[in-house]
Amino acid sequence: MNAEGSVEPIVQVEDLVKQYKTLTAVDGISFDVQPGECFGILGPNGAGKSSTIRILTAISPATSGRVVVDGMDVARQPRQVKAILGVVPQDENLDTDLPVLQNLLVYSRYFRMQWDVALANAQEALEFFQLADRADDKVDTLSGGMKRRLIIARALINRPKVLVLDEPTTGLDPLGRHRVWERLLELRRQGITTILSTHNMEEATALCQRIIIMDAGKIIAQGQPTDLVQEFAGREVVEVRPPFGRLEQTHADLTSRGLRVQAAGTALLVYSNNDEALERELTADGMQVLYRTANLEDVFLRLTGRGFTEED
Amino acid sequence: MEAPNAFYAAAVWRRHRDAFLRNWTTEFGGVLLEPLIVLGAIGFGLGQFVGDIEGDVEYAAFVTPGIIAGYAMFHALFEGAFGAYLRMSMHRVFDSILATPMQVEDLVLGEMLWGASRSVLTAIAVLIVATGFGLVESPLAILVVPTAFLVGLVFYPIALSATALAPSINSLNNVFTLLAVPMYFLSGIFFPVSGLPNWVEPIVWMLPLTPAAHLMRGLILGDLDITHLWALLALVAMAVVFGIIATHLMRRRLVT
Repeated sequence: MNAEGSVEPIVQVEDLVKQYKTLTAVDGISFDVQPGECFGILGPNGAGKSSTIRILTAISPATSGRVVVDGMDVARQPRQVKAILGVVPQDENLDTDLPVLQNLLVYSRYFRMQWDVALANAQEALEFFQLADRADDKVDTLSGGMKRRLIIARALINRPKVLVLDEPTTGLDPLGRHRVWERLLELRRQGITTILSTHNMEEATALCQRIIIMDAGKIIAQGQPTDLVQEFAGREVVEVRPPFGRLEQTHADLTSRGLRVQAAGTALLVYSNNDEALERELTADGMQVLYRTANLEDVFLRLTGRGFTEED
Repeated sequence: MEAPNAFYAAAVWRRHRDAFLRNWTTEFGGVLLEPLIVLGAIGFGLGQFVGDIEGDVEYAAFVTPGIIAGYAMFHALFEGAFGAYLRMSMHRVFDSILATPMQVEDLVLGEMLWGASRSVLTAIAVLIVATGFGLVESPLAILVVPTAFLVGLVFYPIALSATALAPSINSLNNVFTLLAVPMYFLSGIFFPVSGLPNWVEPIVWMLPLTPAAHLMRGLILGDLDITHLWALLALVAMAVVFGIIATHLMRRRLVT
């Protein structure tokens, strides 16, 4: 586990299974989250991320297995668990009947918070998320990025011990995404435990200290993002694009030299650090060759043989 | 199923109140206007040709309590059908509520309390106007207010159950075409239940609007007997049973 092994994990997931009628969405996963950590659940659509999040936020019951949050079993004490969580759902569900500030205040009543505490927290949260000047506006008039920040502000109204975000930046433009990241990093600095699911590798790398990678309901890798990349993909990746019709032949040639090669659409990814001789040779042979830093998508590709955004 | 917590349920009620107060002007017409038109057209218009009913009761005075019961029903049903469906499926208010310490039981109770409040609003509006027209004969009529609340508690969970089962918002029309409108015309509002064919009479007494109209009439005309107590007990029992059914169906719909 981590360096300060004596610290009790704040979230413990044991052998979690979620079965729908014909589908096993979560297939026996276990992991721990340490206090103060930003923990990422990374995977393509349909990997079981949202099901996992819904179970550990006491919104959906597990088929089997156990989730303990801050010493409380989620299945037995859902009310108490939800009281110390802040949940940011994947679908935008702000209250469109109410203006911005009132969204936070009405939400605080669901936690039975004192009004003056709620008002102070709400105003502080709007300030923190750069929404203070929109306090009396209708929710419908906010941009996508503002709505997303407001949902995160809402999730913080009860000063949660654990903030859980299900794909917090899906659907945002790059600017909106970076503003959300910047705020989440600031929250991490303040020491709040964060669990987030994402299918964006850049997001996982930028925000998370530790991640699990899920595919088809199972954990296929876990660790620090940089370690995972180093372990499974090396430092650099050579993207080779052979001329039309020569993909398979080139794949076989490269493999026969003992190189680690992975097909990805019209490209071949060669996991090899700084091999200039190879680059010269391939370029001379009429291929496009591109060096880039290895990332988490390469890890996923190595482990599953599929890209992140491809359908099965 | 666990028992709902009234404090949490109150938070749901207050959310709906806040949303209503922001938009109440747009709803005002429905609260007051429609029952007034019915009261005027049926009570006074049709009433001129009907004469007295059940002995010595003027027709307009006869239909007023039933119209109050009917509109208490309609407003609870509208809120529990279209209002709740929009909150559940389109605005995802239920999802946001259930991500907090709130449980489904609290949510459904809060919804029911709000639906019943809508029934009270329309009942008060009609009662005031009817009093102005001299159609209210007894000070007991003030008890129409809590009775309307009870009527709301009976009908709201019926609509909420339909919402929990509804594959789309259009299927909620059935609540009105198959349930509410037939009840409105058969449940002793416009003519006494005894005017129905003998074999229909016991069936009509099983419908929840019949005891509601009967109890309202007893209060407004100041003519109470033991049958009104039975009506009251029947309404309380139905509110509890329908509330439990709605909670189960909502849990099945929302917690997957």
